Amino acid sequence: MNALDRPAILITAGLYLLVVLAIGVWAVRRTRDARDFFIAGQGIGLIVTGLATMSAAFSGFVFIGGPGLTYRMGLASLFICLPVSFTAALTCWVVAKRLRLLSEVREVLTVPDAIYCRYGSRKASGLAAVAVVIGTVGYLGAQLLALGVMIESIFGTRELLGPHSLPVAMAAGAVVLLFYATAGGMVAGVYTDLFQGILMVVAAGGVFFYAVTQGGGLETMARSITGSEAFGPGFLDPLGNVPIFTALGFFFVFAIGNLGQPHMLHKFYMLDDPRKLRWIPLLVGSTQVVCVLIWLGIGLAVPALVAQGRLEALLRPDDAAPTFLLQFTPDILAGLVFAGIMAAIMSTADSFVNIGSAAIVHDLPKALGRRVDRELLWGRVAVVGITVAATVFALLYQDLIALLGTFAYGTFGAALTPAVAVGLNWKRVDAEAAIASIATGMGVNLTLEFAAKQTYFPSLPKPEFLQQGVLPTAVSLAASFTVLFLVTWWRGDRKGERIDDDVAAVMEM
Amino acid sequence: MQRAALLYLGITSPLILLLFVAPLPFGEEIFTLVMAGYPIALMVMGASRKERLGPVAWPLATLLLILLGVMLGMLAFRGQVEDGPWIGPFPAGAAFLLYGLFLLPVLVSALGYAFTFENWSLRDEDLKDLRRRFGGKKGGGEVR
Repeated sequence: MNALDRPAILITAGLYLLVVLAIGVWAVRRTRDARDFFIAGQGIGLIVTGLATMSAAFSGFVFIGGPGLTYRMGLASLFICLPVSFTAALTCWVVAKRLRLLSEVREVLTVPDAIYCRYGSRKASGLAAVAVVIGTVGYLGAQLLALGVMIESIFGTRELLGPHSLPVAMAAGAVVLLFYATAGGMVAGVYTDLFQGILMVVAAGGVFFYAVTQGGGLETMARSITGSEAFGPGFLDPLGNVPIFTALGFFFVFAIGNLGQPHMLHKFYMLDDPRKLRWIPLLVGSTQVVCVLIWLGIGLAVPALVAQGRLEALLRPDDAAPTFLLQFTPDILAGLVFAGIMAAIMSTADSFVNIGSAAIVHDLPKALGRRVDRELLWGRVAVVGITVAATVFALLYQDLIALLGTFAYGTFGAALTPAVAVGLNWKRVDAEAAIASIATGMGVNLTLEFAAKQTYFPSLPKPEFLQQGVLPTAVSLAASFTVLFLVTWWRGDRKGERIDDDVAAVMEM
Repeated sequence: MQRAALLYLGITSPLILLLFVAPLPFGEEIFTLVMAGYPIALMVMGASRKERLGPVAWPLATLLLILLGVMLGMLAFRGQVEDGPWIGPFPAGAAFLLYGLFLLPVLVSALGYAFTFENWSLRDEDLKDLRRRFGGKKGGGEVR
């Protein structure tokens, strides 16, 4: 079954796309320079910043990949998303205030800019920019893959195009994304995020209650799952179905690694008044909690419906959300949720193409001591290049959306979290420690990810701990923190390496 | 307090790495408990001013208790889905996860942040002072 037979779904999703395109057209006229393009002119209020941060954080990874991962591994997968209950406050206490205050005293557009201000090292900011580009390609790939799965479900292209369906669907989604990302930059991004954030909250709340109703209530769903052969009692045991190092590895990567996600940190520069940070955890945290309900609802409802014999077992776990929406929800709700999911995907993807292009045309040249003329023009060109690279990478990765997203999230987290989070709070961390930490996080993550996934060299052994369920991204995050602390302690308190007075003042606040 | 938080992070980070790559006795239990303290240590590091936590100590202590309770609860009821107790519609381990990790912390952390913000995290006089001393000197990421 696809949405072509159900015009209400198509009309709702079509209306959504029209609104997004209209915002893109409107934003073109408001984007005059690179500052507008990358940080929306630092003139964004509390509600828009909060919802933009929330919707940038939540993506196809959460809405499509999440239920798929729960279908595959049970409740342990929720360690990825449930820490949202405190990560907004964690981010504000540890980094958001200092990043925003840094933009009071310095002209900072990106996270590598902040790293340059803090450490005075081009090498550190350049390495951070490389990590941003690599993570962006992975995360954007996850969004485009999710978008492809959505388009396949809505238009039924899999029956029509066979093996070519997914690449064609991803390309179609990439074209829409490219239009408003290249045209409107961050101005288009934050205002579509506002619209999309509202849509995501409404859609997630609606689908959760519908999922619970369809499954027969939470207890009936839980009893169906535990009593079934396909899933069994382990499905509802958070530390029982998969090794603890996998389950809590997710917690480590997604709760702690949250502090190094440039697409979220970047949003704090845009806030027009730093005092408005006060309400950001409440706004972001509460809306994220509502949005997670879609993961929880579909993640429990689909296995329950399979266990009850009302739905065939899924061939592809990533089909959990689209299948549920098409088969078990009324047209209007399905259309709204499809639009909400597309909203989530588009808003995150837009944030990524933006920070990725900033890394290429702003951060990397700066690290090399150069400056790109006409940053706005080249920023738009870079957006196209990153989108094409992400599409190809996602097609080659050949795994679940959530696992591709985990790799990308982990790349950012491992490379940037210690240098940004600890570095902005502890003056003793110097450039050498930051460089070692960023290089370790990025290098270990890429090496272990390659070792875990590669099939090119069959004789190359896969590390024992990866075979036991330890996540490459969790190892790289722990390694990055370890290196930062060891190098800092080893080098001692180098009082000769002074931090600039303005940056030091920001760190002391 | 910041020193204590940094010490915790500095000791537990290599411990976590070791637990990932080499099996140790009670490794899973140690990792679970370390995870409860890790985000709190980061929050203490970020919220400390001149080695003091001020009013932020209360929400952070509450959060630590919640996370420790959740982790211990999940460990205690591990493997006890069919023959263990159920809390509401879920087995106990799942209930700890869903109520304890998902619903409780949002109130404590977000409200704790909001209600301590003006008199601890960012005081008006501190912001004015920063702007007076450095606000007019905006150079750029690449200056100096």
